Amino acid sequence: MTTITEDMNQVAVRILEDWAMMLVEPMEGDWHDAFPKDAKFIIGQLKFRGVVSGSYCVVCQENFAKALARNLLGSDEELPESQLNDGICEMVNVFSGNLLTSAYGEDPVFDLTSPISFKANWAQVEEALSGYALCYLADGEPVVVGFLPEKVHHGD
Amino acid sequence: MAYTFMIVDDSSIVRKVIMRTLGMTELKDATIVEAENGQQALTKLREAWVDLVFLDINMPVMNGMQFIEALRDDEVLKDTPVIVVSTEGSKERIQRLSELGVKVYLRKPVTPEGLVDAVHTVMKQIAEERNK
Repeated sequence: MTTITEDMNQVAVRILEDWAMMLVEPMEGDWHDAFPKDAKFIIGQLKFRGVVSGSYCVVCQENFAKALARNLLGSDEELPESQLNDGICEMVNVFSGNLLTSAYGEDPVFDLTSPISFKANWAQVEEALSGYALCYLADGEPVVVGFLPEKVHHGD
Repeated sequence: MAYTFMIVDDSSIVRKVIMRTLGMTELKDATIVEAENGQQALTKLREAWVDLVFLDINMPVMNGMQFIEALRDDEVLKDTPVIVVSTEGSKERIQRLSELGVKVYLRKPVTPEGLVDAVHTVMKQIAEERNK
């Protein structure tokens, strides 16, 4: 039996390395130490409902979003903001789908919302990462994956 | 023979990645039609012939499951081949997709090799069915 953070770590590293084609290093310590105090954040977020309900998120800065979108598209060109947001949304989508199966198996059915991404301040990031959070350096840029459980349903 | 493929995904980056992957194969001359959700896909399918649909499940407006159910209920479009490319991991839903005639289910993240193999498998099936 693995813990939720072990599942999160396994899925996050696999997605960053194999899908986003990034060099990944885990960051020791708390996510607060990963970003400068005046950082401008992007949050990608998706809510899910099932035997467990909650939300998954990806928190990063623009440089990570640029690197992700460029890797996915195989492009060195300057990309529009819409594509940076799209890349973050897709990352949280892939992360969520894989983590739900990894953590809870293939039997439960989960309903997922469409992922959204938005610019965020420190307080919004604090709220999004108030559950479980793991921090990485991916291609030298900090990125945090978070899981915020809501409640457990028994037998419905 | 040049094929026409439709990519149905609300993520423009995913649509581009699939197009880029197809562009690196012998299918690079295929015409690509894009749709952002199931409803848009149904509208476009009623306007032009499509040989194969790549379909996401989790989409706004009309999701992938609703789209396939509508497709199979449409007398003209019901035999349109579909490859699902999704993060869906529930056995129950994957079984339902199979019952709805989905040719291949690919779990995101998808490798270019996995996508190309799936296309080859389905195109071979289509050719065999057309030659019957």
